[in-house]
Amino acid sequence: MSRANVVGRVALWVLLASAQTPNAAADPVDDLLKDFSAQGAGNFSAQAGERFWDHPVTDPKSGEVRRCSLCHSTDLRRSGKHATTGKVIEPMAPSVNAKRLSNRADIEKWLLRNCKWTLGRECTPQEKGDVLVMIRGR
Amino acid sequence: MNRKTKWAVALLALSAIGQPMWVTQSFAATKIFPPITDAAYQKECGSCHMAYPPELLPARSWNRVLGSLQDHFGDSAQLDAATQQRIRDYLVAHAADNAQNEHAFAIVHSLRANETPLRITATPYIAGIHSAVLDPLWGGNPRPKTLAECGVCHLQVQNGNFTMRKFTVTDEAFRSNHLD
Repeated sequence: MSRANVVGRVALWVLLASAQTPNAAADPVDDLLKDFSAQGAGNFSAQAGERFWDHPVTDPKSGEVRRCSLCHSTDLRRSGKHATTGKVIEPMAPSVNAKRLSNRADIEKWLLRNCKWTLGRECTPQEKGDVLVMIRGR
Repeated sequence: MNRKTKWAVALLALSAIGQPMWVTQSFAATKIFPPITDAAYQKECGSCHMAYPPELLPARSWNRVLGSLQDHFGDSAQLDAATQQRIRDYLVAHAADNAQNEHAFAIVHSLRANETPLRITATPYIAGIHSAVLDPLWGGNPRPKTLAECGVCHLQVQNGNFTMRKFTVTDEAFRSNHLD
């Protein structure tokens, strides 16, 4: 193997490695927003997400008034408290809790579970997009 | 053989054997629960409430809990099938009826064979110990709304230790509730 050949191979590997990094680090929120857009949602707005966060919904079974902020608090930089168990819930804002919005499967799981409990139904792609954009900015 | 010689021989025989046999049969049970070792259980269940030591419910109860996650005390805690099976296996393997623990033993034996409670606090042993805390007349501190977060009083719960606990009940609090 000639020397130029070796240099060429090394350069090729470096190129390949650097080309792969941005893909691996793709933002899960951007991914999800793209999917929501494909489902007909769009123009996601943090203001709409903020209204949604505090919007009260009465649970028909228990008569309780539920909203996102009931467990997660209105200030996303602070920790919240589970409405039933009282367990402390770590802050939602990525600026103080780097784990938030970092894993697509986790985001989807919690949106599904928590929308069902809070609203009694799944959230629409528009609602999910708005609230994700709002959380990401905190 | 005189008396003294007999004693000497007996002592020698004992020391040669080492430990008398009945002492080597030790009781392995403890009051401390081993740490949670399953990451999926810790993550999926421990997000909304403390990941309770599996030794606090019998296997039949864990099977019932894991079989009804779509309505988990009014909340949906649904998991994908693989994660659900993994967590079920972990909880059953460490369940009260498979554990060497004094509390676990008491929990199992406070239940009748046909009883399968979903809540740890619905087992007679745990309910009995904590009945005063949920009594509206209890003027103690802290005053938890539910018993879901053991750590409110059991300060060493992260080490599996429920024996160390902290709460106060003052006679003033008792009087204001009982003697009005």
